Amino acid sequence: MHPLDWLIVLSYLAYVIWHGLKLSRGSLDSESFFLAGRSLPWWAVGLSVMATQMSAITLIGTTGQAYEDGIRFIQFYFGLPLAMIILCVTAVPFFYRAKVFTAYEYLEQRFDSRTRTLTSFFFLISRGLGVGVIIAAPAVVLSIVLGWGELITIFAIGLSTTFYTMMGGVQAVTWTDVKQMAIIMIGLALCVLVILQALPEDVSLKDALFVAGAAGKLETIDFTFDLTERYTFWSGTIAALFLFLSYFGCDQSQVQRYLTARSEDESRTSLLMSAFLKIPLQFLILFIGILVFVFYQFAQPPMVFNELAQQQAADVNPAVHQQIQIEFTGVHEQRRLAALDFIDAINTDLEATARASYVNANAEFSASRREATEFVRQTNDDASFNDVNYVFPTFVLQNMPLGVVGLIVAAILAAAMSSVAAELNSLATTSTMDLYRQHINPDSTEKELLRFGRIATLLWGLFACVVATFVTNLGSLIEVVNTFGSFFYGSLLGVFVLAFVVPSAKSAGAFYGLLFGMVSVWIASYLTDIAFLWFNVVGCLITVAAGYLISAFSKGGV
Amino acid sequence: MNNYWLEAGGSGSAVNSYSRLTHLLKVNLIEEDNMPEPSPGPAKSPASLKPWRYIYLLVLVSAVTIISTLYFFSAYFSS
Repeated sequence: MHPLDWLIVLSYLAYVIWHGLKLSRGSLDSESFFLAGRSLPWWAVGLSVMATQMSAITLIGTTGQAYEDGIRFIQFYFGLPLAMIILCVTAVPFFYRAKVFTAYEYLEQRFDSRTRTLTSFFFLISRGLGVGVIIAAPAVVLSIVLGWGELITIFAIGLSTTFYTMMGGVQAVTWTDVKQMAIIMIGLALCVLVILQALPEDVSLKDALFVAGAAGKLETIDFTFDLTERYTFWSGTIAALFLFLSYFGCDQSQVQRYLTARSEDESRTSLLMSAFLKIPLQFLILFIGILVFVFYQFAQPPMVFNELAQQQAADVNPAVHQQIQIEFTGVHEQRRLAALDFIDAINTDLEATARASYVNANAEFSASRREATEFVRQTNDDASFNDVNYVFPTFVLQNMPLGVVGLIVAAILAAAMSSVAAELNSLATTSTMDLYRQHINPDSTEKELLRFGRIATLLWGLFACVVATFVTNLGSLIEVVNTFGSFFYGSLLGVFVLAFVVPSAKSAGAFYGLLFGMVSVWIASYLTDIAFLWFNVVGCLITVAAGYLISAFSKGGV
Repeated sequence: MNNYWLEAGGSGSAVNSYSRLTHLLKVNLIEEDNMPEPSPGPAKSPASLKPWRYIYLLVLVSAVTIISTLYFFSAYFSS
């Protein structure tokens, strides 16, 4: 990276840490450290909600996924607006008026202490591991950019975020999120502009989109009802609805965002801001992946985007590597010419023929790329090898102009740090309020709670860094996080449905219903091929059904 | 610890949660926004007089419009 890019990245990091330190002066008690004294405006909370959800995984993984698979991933977000409305009507007033610190604290008021402890325990485990995945994504980028080892990169990102979260609490997290969202938006806008400028002069945006469409990259909605298919209209509207209800309604990392708003109405407005903007924002990110795909129609792409892995394979078997490289260059050139022919033929009698030729050329190119990936996979003896997450960072480094590289790297860092900070803050809140104050030191003073919250932030940060070292090679990172979350989220949602909707639900029903739900998801994942999003539906329905039946047959209790 | 739910519902906090939910649904989706609450809560700010159900409808209509636009965008460039 050029020194100017370095300067931009380091300035960003220095500013974020300074900002966190500055805001630490306002964190004098547990309410200000964990909930900002319930004083934040809706737009800051709304941006924080969006920043928390949009991690570096979203930027890196989603653009790579669009490059490989097109924009059909957008269907995943179709259930989000409805989920936000349901939460505005139900969860927000419940939590806000109950004046709780955590969502699980409410479950003690509704059921009992053990239900609170069990749900908070599962949250801590699942989110603690999830933060590791979120740290791993930018570590992948920076290990390429800086040439550092992944281990050093992981700890550099993880510990700097831990530091400002530990010092500034939720105030630092939220106000840093606001600035980080601005950096992310500027970075994304610059990406679009630079790619459009980099296309050949006689290729317009409309031409580029026709090429992407012919390659099948713009197929948005799939109405097929297939439970094994990962992204369809139905999984996005029904199954993802359950996931978003659980994520925004039961996951402390999100609940804590809107508990910091200065009123119940501002909490609602912050969620509706996300409901309005999430799909367009996600489309923009996917669209960048499509533009990268179009860009590489006319410029020679890397055969494999993970250059280090490719070089390792080439060192082991140079003859085969060279042969694959020659074939790859050949099919790329054929595809480039076919794409230009297709663009020339648009709206002429030759369009159908030119389109068919391009589709064939693109299929040959894809086959060649698969062969190259398989070569690296087999030669390096790495069955899980996948270069999807390397597409966007490699493109940025090789093609973006001076200064823009630094800004986009800063944007990726911002995306990662905003999510990690919010997760660490929520993990610390749950550890402090649901475990420490609940079980270890019920008579703790404000000073002790604040001190424990800061120590918990540090410990969770270290734990997440250790987890991150193990997850850098788990395929498309965004799917790893979502798959992982689906094992817990549905059942957790089921407990809150029992609390809000089923008046006859008792503590035994909620407690054992949750366990039933989680076991059922685990069984479903082993015995069936259903896509991970449907695990949320299975977990929720089984938990509610089991909880209802157990409550009906249990004697006494609440 | 805040005992809002227990205070409001006495020993029947489960029933109170349920009645609170049905009340919230009525307030937000069916009846007037300024209908009285069944149990004590924070004073309503002027912002709470917003016609929420229209805002929810607007969000839903926007979402459907965006999804439909995506569908036609996809169909236009993929055909």
